[in-house]
Parts: sequence; C-alpha cells; structure tokens
Amino acid sequence: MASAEFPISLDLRIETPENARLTCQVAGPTWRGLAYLIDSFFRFAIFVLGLMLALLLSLSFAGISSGLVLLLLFVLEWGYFAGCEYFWQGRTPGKWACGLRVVHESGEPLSWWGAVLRNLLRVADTLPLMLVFPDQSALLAVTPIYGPALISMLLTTRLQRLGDLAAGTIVIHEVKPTLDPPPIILNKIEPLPRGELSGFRPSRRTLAVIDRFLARRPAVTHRRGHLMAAPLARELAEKLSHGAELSQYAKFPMAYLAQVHVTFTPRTEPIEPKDRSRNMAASGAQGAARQPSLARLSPARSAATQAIAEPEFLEFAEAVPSATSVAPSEVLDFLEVVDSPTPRDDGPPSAGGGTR
Amino acid sequence: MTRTEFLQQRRPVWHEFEALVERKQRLGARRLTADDVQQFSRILRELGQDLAVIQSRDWGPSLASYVNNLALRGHNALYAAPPTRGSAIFEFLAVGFPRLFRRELAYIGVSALLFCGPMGVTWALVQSNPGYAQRIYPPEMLEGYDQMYARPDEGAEALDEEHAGDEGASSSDPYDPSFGEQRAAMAGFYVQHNVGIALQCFARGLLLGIGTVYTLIYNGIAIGGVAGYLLARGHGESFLSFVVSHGAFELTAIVIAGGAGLMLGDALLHPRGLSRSDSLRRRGLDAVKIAGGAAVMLFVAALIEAFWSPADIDANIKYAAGATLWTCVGLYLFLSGRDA
Repeated sequence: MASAEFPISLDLRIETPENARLTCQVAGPTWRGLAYLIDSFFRFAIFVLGLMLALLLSLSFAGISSGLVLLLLFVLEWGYFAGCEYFWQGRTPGKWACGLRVVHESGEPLSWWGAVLRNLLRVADTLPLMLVFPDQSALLAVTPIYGPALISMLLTTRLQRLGDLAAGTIVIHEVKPTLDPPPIILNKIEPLPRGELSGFRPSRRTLAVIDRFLARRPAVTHRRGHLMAAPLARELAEKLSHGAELSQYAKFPMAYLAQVHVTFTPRTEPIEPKDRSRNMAASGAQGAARQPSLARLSPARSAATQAIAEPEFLEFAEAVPSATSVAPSEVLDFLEVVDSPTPRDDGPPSAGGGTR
Repeated sequence: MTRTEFLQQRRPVWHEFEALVERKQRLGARRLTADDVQQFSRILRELGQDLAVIQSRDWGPSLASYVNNLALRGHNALYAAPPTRGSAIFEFLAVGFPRLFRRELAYIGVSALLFCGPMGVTWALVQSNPGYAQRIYPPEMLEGYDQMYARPDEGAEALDEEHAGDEGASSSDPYDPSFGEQRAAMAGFYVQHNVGIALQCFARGLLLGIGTVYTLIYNGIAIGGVAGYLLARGHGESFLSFVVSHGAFELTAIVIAGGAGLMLGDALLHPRGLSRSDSLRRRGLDAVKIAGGAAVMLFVAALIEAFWSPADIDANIKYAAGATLWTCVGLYLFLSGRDA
C-alpha cells in the first residue's frame, strides 16, 4: 500500500486529524461514468416529472408553467450536481449507488465553492460535439463526450478530471469493511520443548507469515497445505537443530510451523494442561478403526481430543472436510498431530493411521 | 499479545463502531445521543492505533484493510463540510463579490474590451450599412427582429394581424390574463439561456482562455449587429428602451463572467512561481466566486427582462429607469464593501 514502493497505484494516503494514516482508493473513469449515467437517468426522470406537473399546471397557468419548466431545466443542468454534492457530503444519487464519494485531496469533506467549481467546469470537460458536427441533429450537440476529462484522468496520478484539478478534489471508493472469520487453532498447541532448541530465534516477520498462513488454512486442502508449509518447516527445523528428528517433523510441516509459532510468540494465558499419559495411550490405540466422524472415535482418542477441543475446534474439524476436498481421515491425521506434538519413540505421530 | 488475542479484544469494539456508523447514516447526526457521539469519536481515535499495531506487527493486509476501511467510513461520517449560515450568502453578495470585482478589475477590463470592441465596431458598421447584417444573421432572424421591435403605430399593423395567433407575439395589454403568464415563461427562458451562456463562457476559460475569448467576441458581434440593424431600420427607440434596463445587469454580468474565464486561463498560462495546478486552484476559487456573482446578476437581469422591459410604457420613463439601474450597478460594483 505504500506509495513509495508502488508509484502507480489507485491508493491515496491521507492523514486524518486523529493522526491516523488511512488509505483510500481513487475511483476511475468507468465507475464515475456509470455514476454519471445513473445521475443522467435520474435527472431525466425528474425533468419528465416536472414536465407532467407543468402540463397539469398549464391548464390554469400557462406561462408560469413553461417558465418553471425552463427553470427546472436550468437547475438540473447547473445546480443538480453541485447541490447534491454539497448537501450530501460529496455524493449524488448516482455516486451513492456506485459507492463513490467526492472529497478534497487531503481527505477533507467537500466545501461549497469546491462543489460549485468542479461542476461548473464540467463544461470544459465535455467535448462540444456541436463544433465537430455542426450540421447534424440537435441531440448530437447536447450529448456530452467527456473527452478532455478522460485525457486529464489519464494524465494525472489521482484520476482527476479538469474540474477536479481546479477544485482540488478526488473521487474515492467507499469499500465496505469485511472481516475474515476468526482463526482458532493456535491456542490449543503445545510449544516445542525448550531443551531441544538451538539459540536461533525466527524473526517476527516469519512468525507473522506463519500466523497468516495458518489463519487461512481452511482455504487450501490438507495435502496442499502441508506441501506449501514444507520448505519453511524444513528450514526452520534445520536452524532449530531439530535436524536429527527432521524426518518426523517434516512429515507434518503445518503442525511444526504451528508449534514454532506458539514457541516463539509470548503468550499471556497459560497453556491448558494436557495429560501426556492419555496421549501415549491414545497413540498406542491407533489400531482402532478409523471412524470418519469425531463422534464415533474410540473412547481413548476422543478423550484426548476432547482434552484440547472446544466447540469451535470441533466445528472447524467438522467443517474442514466439507469446505475442502479433504477426506475425514486426513483431518484426523492433522488433529492427531495437533493432539500430540512431541516426538515419540514408537514411530512418527499418528503412524498408526498409516495413510502417509 | 498474539493476533488472536488482539482480535478477541478488539472485534467487539469494531462491531460496535460499525453499528454506530450505520446508525448515524440512518438517523442523521442530530438524532444520535451524546453518548453515541462520544463513543464514536473515542473509537475512531482507537482505530488509528489499531491500524498502526496491525501494520507494525504485519498481521496481514486483509485485517489492515478492514480496519482501514472502517476508519475511513468513520472519518467520512464524522467530518462534514461546515454548515453555511444564511447570512453568508448575503455577505458574499454585498461585500465579497464587489471586492473581488475590484481586485480583478484588470481581467474584467480586458474582457470588456473583447466584448465591447467588436460590439461597437459591428454596431457602427451595420448601422451605416444595414446590408452587412445579412452576413451575420440569416434573413428569417432579421425579419423576426423587425417584427419584435416594430411599434404598432408605425404601420406594422399588417404584420400584427398576420401574426396575431403567434405564440411569440407578446400581448402588451397588462389587463390581459395571459400577460403575466407570458412574462413568466420568458423569465424562465432568459434564465436558462443567458445564465447558461455566461457560465459556459466562464468554464471555457479553462481551455487556456481561448473559449472565453471566442464567446465574448461572438456575442459582441451578435449584439452589435442586432443593435445596428434595428437602429438603421428605425426601430431604435423601441429597441433601446427595451434593452437599456436589463442591459445594465446583463451586459456587465457577461463581461464579468468573461473576466472570470480569463482568470482561469491566465492561471494556467502564467503560474507566477507556483505549479500550474496550485495556481489553478488559487485563482480558480476566486474565479468561481466571481462567476457565481455574475450568475446572480444575470438572474436579476432575466427578471427585469421578462417583467419590466417589454412593458408598454413611455420610452422616456424607461430610459430614466435604465439610467438609474446603470448607476445602481456602477455604485454596487465600485463602491460596495469598501473599507470605510
């Protein structure tokens, strides 16, 4: 988002009076053209309505009605945009429908003279077809082509037309803020045992990348997630001197990354105590038939899982097979890894599953 | 604190802020309670801090853009343009506009030359040789002007009878019910026509002033031609008495609007040490104020032109009224708003 790195971008940095640096997205000719079309239909509709009212009025007041119609025409042409933009904080009906807003370049709201100036200079922005086709129909003379406006938008960095340049305004998109769904795994993972670690400490950037990756884990399949995590997990394992047990850790790279993250991120709440004896028993009881649904787990395994599982965790586990193309057994593999992260002498974790 | 913990803490606050913004949009600022307003501004300040935390810890572009967009919505909802008092309009018309006029007198003088020069030349030429009018106007239009300004006692009754059913024939009997109607219709027409031309004249100044120069010269020739033609044909009295009253406002307003257009063009051509866009912004603001004042003057001119000028009153009275109006305009532009 920094404009220093990307000099050509639609982002504009503004600094608010609260000393926050916000980024807004500047709107280009397509959206603004659509807003103008909507506004034109709206104005046309108002004019037709005015005409009908004037016809009714003309039964009793002939002249006043035609005068009023002409006055309405004048207001619709010269006053509609300026009035709407001033009294409605930079929006007209067309712009509101497209989610646009006119503000000054510094982020300030639109002032009165700014609104008047940018809309009076609309005449300079439209190419008078009359000059090009003097003998054609009158409709051609009235239709505006925003030729100079398009050229000006192409040449300025903030997509301003001539009226915008004179008034110091820009048109921004108002994007609806949407928040990602909350990530849920990381609270439940035990950190790596400190005695096994070398002095290496992953950078905060790396930890942030891991955090982000794990937060988006539902978006990729289980296998793909492991594939994506493998290079980083391998490198971290080497640096953290887990090279000797590399094979075990390399089998479930995502789990390893989660453990690394939990190890090196300061925590403010204690980790929930886990019953290791239960875990050992659980892994020993791998041979029990693998059930697709958590509800039908063998008692030992389900107990172990429930020791760390909360409703959202279960929900996540149930949801993953439906959200991606992962088979339920693969989910259990992943759960198994999360469940018992410490290396075992009896082979790789969840080796009883035998699906790797 | 981890990302999850941060989100757990802040998410309810963000949802509350979204609800506040939505309530403000729905109800308008006046219907919010005092607590709402305080909460709104407090959370808006906190959002800036949240955004800084997210960006410094690099917790992801999607989260950062969410907080950014939320803060932007709050910013746009909180800050609106300061409301104008009703007296501001009066202050501008009484003081601001004349002062601007006097400050930019140079541009308006040039605009006056561009307008009055061709007008005077054309007038003189056409008055001395009415045949020249054919070069400026199509013949039908000249006939129309003849009819419009012919006095009934000058033998134009035949024409009046022919065109009695015409919509354009104006009734000069004040007691005719349609008298007021036609005047109102013409008022609307004059507003839409004249103010439109003046504002276009101003706006075309942005194209380096070329459009403004063209419009001024064109209109000068047109008006001069009509005047010369009508004087040569002997309709001088009716024409001049018609024009003199509203001309005080209309002609000066066209010249002023032209001056504003020239200001725009000059801002681009001679930035005087500023960048061209800065220069345009500064002069543009002054220029649009001047054009706004000119538009108001043209409104007044349209009213006078529709209701007063065609009135069937003795020409001398109209001349007197016209002279008074010219004096008023001169006093207004040159004396109003002076520092005492």
